[in-house]
Amino acid sequence: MLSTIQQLLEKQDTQTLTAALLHSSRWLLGERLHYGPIQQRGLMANWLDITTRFETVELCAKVQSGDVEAGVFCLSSASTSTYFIAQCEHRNDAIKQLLQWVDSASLAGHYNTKEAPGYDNSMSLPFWPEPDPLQLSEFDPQLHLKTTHAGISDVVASNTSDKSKALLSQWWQVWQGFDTAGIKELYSDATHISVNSQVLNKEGSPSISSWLTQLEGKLHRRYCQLEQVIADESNALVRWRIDADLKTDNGLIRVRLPIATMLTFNDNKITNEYWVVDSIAFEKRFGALLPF
Amino acid sequence: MSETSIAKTVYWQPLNDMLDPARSKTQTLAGFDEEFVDLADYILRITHRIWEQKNIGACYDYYADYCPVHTLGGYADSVDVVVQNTLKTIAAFPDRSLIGEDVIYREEANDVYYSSHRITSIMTNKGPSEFGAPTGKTGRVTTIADCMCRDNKIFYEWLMRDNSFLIAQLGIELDDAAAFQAKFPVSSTFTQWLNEEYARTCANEASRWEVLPEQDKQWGDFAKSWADQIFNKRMFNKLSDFYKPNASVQWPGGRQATGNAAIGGMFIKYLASCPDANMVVDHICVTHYDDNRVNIALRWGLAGHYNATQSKYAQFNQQPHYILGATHFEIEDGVIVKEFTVFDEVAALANLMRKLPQATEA
Repeated sequence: MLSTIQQLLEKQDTQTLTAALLHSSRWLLGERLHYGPIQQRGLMANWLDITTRFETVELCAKVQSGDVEAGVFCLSSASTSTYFIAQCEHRNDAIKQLLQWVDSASLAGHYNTKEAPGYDNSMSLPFWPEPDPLQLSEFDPQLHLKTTHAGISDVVASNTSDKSKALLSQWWQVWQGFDTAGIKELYSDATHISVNSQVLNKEGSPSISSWLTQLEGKLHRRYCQLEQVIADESNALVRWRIDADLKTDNGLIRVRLPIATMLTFNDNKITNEYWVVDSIAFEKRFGALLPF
Repeated sequence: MSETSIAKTVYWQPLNDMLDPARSKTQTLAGFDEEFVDLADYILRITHRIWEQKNIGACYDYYADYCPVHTLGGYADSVDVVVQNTLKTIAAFPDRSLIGEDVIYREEANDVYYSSHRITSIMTNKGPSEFGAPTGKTGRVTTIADCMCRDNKIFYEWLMRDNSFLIAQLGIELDDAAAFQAKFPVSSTFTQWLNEEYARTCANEASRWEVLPEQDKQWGDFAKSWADQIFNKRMFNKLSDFYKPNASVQWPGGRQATGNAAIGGMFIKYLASCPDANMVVDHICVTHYDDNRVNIALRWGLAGHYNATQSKYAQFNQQPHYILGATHFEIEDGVIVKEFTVFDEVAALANLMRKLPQATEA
């Protein structure tokens, strides 16, 4: 059913998507859940407005497991590429749940430039949703030996191949376990890895290792939690989050970063990795800039 | 069609099917209108008729003349008051939608049915409401309505709504909403009910315990053990006996946790506001979604003494504190994968301001 999103973006087809949405369908954007035709039509209108400001929409990778399908899209113009990840829970022709994570800072920069040339590219979008209220509770982030923490095998579908599970476990060990030595085994020089619009591992940009080290340094008492993994033989969507203390002008605050990561892999190496984090939603929620 | 497929059908059904179900009748529903094919259909369609089609007077068709309705903020027992309250809510939130997320139900003896209906509402605050002056803002809220039904009518109801989550979106502070509510007098029946519920819950006495079908008894034990181990004994390392490692939990006011570490932290923080709390599960019902998934509804009470976790509430320290709550679990492979817990924090704070409940002398 990702095709309904593609049709919306490429052909301005609002009707196919409208027909697929149920009375009880929910649509996540900007870390806010939207329900019902009034809110959902507003979202469609905003997407159509956005796409008129880009030249192409490309589905870069996708994955399907059971009733769930996910993909990473790239909106491109001559000067900008903006990634977003969409996930659909669907059956027959109905979409029950549509979740979207967008590199909203990149989108805002491009949108504002197109809106008013010479504009300051401020990181705001007039229509971006207010995120749902969130109350975070403190908890013990240590991986005590006798406490339970989600690993890849706890989260993937039981029919996922051992090969995919092993690669994803290695990946989780790098990012959750701060295993910088594991990077070499998993990534090659040819790997495309981007965190929102920042491309790592290329000339003039940080290496994966230094980026991970910086992340660890900026986020104190960091705890990584897997939410959902959808995987096949060569693609995976990993939804995860980091809860951490972040140093801000107002002191140390507890934050949560929901992250959607789309991976493609081949021969036990990651070929493409796209991280999407909604910067505007984060800033609205915590009054602080993303730490990366 | 089996009960399993009713739960799945409800999950996936489009509005047209909801309003005119194609599935065949699988429950006797003696005394109910012939048009209803099962209890989930009855609950979903009457809710839609009353709230979304704005046939408020249909309450007279679907509520008994005498129908006690309990919330943490008040009490009503006449269908006339149900109609008036529905009208006032729609006037305050004219576009309020009631989207049925799940109906978990149980058939009792004597043609009585018990339903626990989880609803998501989107609503714009255009008129004066129970929280104060209109804000013009739109919010989302989760409600769980537990109803006992017989002869086509609801004759007993418990209503739990996550009002602290709603007011956060409307831009209203919890203290302000609670102070506004606390100005209104409550009936002596409400005070008596609250005092009795508090005393009963402190004494760890369930109000009633239903007979579950043989296949569901394990879930009754599971629910009681969840309340006992986590909330009453505070054994947070037992969370892994109840939750999948990536289980997601929604609690009132925007508390949202995934995984045992965050869930444990959330429960510990909440319980710190009532550190001697005792939880009693007062009702449980179960529906089977498919071979590997069951949905469980619990209604529970929690009672103890308030302990402020923010200094502005310190004036209420050591006051008796009571919560009427409801929880829906989605269980897969024997453990919780999703939890939705609902109670009204605005009413709970308003009751503290009113110095309710009052503990009776031993």
